[in-house]
Amino acid sequence: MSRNDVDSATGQNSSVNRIDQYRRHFVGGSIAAAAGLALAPGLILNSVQAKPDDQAVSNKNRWGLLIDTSKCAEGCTDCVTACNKKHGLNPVHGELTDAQWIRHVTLKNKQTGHQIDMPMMCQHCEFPPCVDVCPTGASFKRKDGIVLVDKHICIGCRYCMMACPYKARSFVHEAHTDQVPDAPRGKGTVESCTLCVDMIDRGDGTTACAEACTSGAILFGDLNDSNSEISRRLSSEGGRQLRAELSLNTGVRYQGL
Amino acid sequence: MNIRRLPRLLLTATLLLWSIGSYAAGNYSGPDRDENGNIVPTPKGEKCVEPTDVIRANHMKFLLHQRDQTMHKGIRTKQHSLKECINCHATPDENGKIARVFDEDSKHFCASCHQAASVKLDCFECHTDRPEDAFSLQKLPADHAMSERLAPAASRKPHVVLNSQGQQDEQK
Repeated sequence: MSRNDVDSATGQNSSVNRIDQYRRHFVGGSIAAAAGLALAPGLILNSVQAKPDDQAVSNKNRWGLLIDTSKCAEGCTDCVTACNKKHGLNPVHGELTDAQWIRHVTLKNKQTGHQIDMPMMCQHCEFPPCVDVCPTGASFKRKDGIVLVDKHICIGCRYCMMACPYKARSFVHEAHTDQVPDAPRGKGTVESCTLCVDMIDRGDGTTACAEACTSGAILFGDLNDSNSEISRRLSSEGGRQLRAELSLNTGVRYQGL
Repeated sequence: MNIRRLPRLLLTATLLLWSIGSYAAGNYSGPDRDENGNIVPTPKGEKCVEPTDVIRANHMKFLLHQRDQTMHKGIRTKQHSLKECINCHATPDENGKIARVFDEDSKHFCASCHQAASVKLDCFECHTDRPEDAFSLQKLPADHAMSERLAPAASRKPHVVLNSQGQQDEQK
């Protein structure tokens, strides 16, 4: 029903009524617009929205992890197990040659005996050395900050493994036939933590390791979003980069070290 | 050359080319079919995402394009995704088994055709040749290997998986 219909139905002086209607419309519209302006940034920033399948990722997001090692239980390998299971990383010859996307690292202060258990994975640097050295362009950083290996282009030269200060990458030595659908991997290519890129693209808003961590030591989030929990915790509690002196601006930050 | 022999020569040449062509076409069998001419293993969907002649001639181009879009831009549309090809075409046979690409004389949809056409298939050296359903319904060796890592070697038992008909298969 249009406004004109209302006028004729109520039988009021239509010209005055119409001005009133325009005023109301204008005032109401401005309030709505102002409210929208005030709310919209928060709304957009607060939700981890599922990206439409046909839309490319953008640098609006920078995905990262915050790992509180003080919450890591001694000897706990839940995140490593979950990662291995999700990506079908099956043992072949043991730790020397098997792929490790997350390594369980134990640091011990010999003087005091104080011990820290922590997970180590690709740190998803803003300036990744592995990308700098890759001769084919297989090692690359996605616009949303995730560092990946395009195994279609990888020639298995392993320069990136040498360049990585975190020892985060593994070489696939064996032919595999038991890959899982979301983690293609094959002999002769280098691989590392993908930050569960398939889950991020689906809009799950978490990673396999963060999901599996029962003590809440691993937090996944958007570092570019100042309202995300990871950004709020980093700004209130702080968090350090490993090998910060290399100025790589890592996407994975640690607390409790 | 005697101009009167030209039609005969042309006819001979045409017949020769036609016979070579039909011989090659006869050898190119396409995907495996049952006696009624239906593709086996039976695809899940009703029809392909493209007309048959288009997908037959261009599937590698579609997949190559999609691969770069997905890898570098995170575009994960389903129409030309290898995962969706597999989800639809790698279905269990009458015994509930899903054919594997690297089996000898494989009945896998991709492999059967590529073997007939003698074209090497690289996709499945990294990508899985099994559909997502298989991973959610069955306990596949991927899980088996993990439990093996967690269990001491001495206590390893033969791995038992259920096929889609609920019977037990034994694997090594």
